[in-house]
Amino acid sequence: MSAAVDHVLERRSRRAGRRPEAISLTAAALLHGVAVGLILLLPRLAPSPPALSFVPVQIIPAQALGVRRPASRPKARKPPEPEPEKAAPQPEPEEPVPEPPRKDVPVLPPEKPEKKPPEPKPRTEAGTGTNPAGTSPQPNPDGEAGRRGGPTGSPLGSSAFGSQIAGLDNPDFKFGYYIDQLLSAIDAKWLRPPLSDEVQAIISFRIERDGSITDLEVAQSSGYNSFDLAALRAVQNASPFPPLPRAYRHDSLGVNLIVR
Amino acid sequence: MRPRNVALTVLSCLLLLALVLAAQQPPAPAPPPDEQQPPQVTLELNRGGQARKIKLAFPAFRGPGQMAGDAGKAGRELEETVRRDLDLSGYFEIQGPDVLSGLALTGDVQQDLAAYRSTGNEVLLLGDVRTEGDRIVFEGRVLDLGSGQAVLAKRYKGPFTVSRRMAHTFADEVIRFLTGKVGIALSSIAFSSDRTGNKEIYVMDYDGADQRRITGHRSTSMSPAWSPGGGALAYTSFFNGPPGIYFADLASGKKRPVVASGSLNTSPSFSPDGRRIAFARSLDGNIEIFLADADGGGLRRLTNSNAIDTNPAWSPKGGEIAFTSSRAGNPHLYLMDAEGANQRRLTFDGAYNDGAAWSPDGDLVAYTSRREGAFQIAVTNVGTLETAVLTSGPGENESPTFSPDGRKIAFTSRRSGRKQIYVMDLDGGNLRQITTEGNNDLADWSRSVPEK
Repeated sequence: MSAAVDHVLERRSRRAGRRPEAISLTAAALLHGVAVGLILLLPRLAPSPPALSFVPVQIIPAQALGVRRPASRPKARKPPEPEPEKAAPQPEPEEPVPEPPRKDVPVLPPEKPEKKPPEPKPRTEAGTGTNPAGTSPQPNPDGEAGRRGGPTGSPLGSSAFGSQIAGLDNPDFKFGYYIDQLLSAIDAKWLRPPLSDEVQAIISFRIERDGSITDLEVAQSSGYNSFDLAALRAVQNASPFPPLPRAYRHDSLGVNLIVR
Repeated sequence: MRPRNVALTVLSCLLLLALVLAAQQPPAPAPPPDEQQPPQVTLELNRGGQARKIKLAFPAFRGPGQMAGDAGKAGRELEETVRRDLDLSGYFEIQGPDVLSGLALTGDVQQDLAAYRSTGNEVLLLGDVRTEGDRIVFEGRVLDLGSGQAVLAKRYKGPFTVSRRMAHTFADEVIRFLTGKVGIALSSIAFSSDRTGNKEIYVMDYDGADQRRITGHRSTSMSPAWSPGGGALAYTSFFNGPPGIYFADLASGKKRPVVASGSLNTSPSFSPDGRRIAFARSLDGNIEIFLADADGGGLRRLTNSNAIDTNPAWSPKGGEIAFTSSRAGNPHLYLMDAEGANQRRLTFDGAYNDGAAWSPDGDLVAYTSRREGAFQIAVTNVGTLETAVLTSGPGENESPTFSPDGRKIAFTSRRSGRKQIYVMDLDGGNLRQITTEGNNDLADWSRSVPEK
């Protein structure tokens, strides 16, 4: 009897003595709740990245550029000058030292990336324009377009990789040679599994300034694991790619590659 | 007690708040550079083919033509070296001043883009050379001819004497930007030559320029092997009696023995980490493969056969050593793990295969193979054992070594009379002789190009 009372009393006293801890525990629990809530909620509040748009456009490798630039392009910019020599590249060097890469790009024309939405229609005529990007699929006002184009639209009728139709949604990337090198490098590593010709996958990756790749993944599966993996491997083995051209002003270049 | 608990509570609250804030921090600035959301390019990859050459317009540099004396000489050498480096690389189809002179150029680059393109060029290389006192200043630029925009722009400055090195540096930079590959214009080839009457070790630029003597033992010194970093050579020399392995530091010129005991030590090959050297060694007449630390310690035997085992070549990834053994009767190439285990035969064709050299990616081994009575350069794929013979005809073609980019092979040939060093593409094409003085052989191409 008295034992039971003692028990109760003891519990009470213990509870009383513990109150501050209880408070802190409660506070902690609440704050944890808030924290978890915030963590869960915040990403949703952040703007979701814009969906990739696939705009089939013709890409004309620079090699085939027998055409003038489309009139829509800003004209006559100063030829890029080598950047001013800030830190003189070494006083008395036995070896010349290349300048360290600069963040600033004074050589760049202050050009606005005119983001006109490209026509969502595949074109079949050749010679969209000089720049793989930059040129939205408007008929080339020059009339010179397609001078070297083949019937497939490929200016490289006899090129190593046959016709290349590509979708660009980047009006800023105007370097035909780069696209050529990129495709040719991946091409050299592409071992197609023996599957039907219809099979294709879309691989996406990002090229960093130094030419290394990140975010390599299958954007659209072919439905065949072996094909997807072979495509990923081709890109992986082909990298690193050339460093991004100096005049390209972004830190990286996202690429969606249709592999078939 | 109680105040302390309260304090604890407050503290823990603050801590949690801090945690929450910290957790909040990264996501907040994460999506910010969104205004410049890097754009995406969609490309289509169709199917196989081989690398196409980049069409490069290379008009005369501005400057060298108007410069006199040493400056003019340095400027012209710089221009010629850049052009030659790019040409030798095999990546480009170059249109020089001779071709471009047919174009109607205004001199204003942006106005001339179409003219340059009209003959098929994709990119344009412009060079500008001038002097500042006793210095040469070189600005090199590459423009994309489609957009007229800069692919790269570099400026170099230094004494006249470094003009070739400036040119090599710039050429490799052009190659890196246009192809993504590492150029070899700054690589070197070590070899032995008897041009002074004694066989000594020499080093030259990859194109044969600037040949300089490294040893002066007035004896027989041969089979140089580059350290992985390119700062030192190991080699064999007889100057102290029985042949020993020696180490030469190129910067200081200092030399020291690695292993010189026993009756014979030859054919050194560095491990890829540079810490050990594999070589052929004999104590009693039977030659076996041994390992030693680069300082000569840790001597260890790897092979143990009654036959001759010699000419080790450490694989670029470090796991394997290729070597020559006559254990099957005739000399053939074998592979073993770097610990000496798992010894297996690599070549089966012909009756004589010797002098293995690895490709930089470790896929191929090149070697000297006797075919129909003549020595030829052969290449075997280590994975598939597929073999190709790259040279033909008389001339004793031997002792191959791969360029650091794996696209070329240097080797010794007697086709012009004396032993000379030649360079060819991996398919046997583009053969060029790069030595002329005395007999030159046993070349070793530096493995890496000094980092920029």
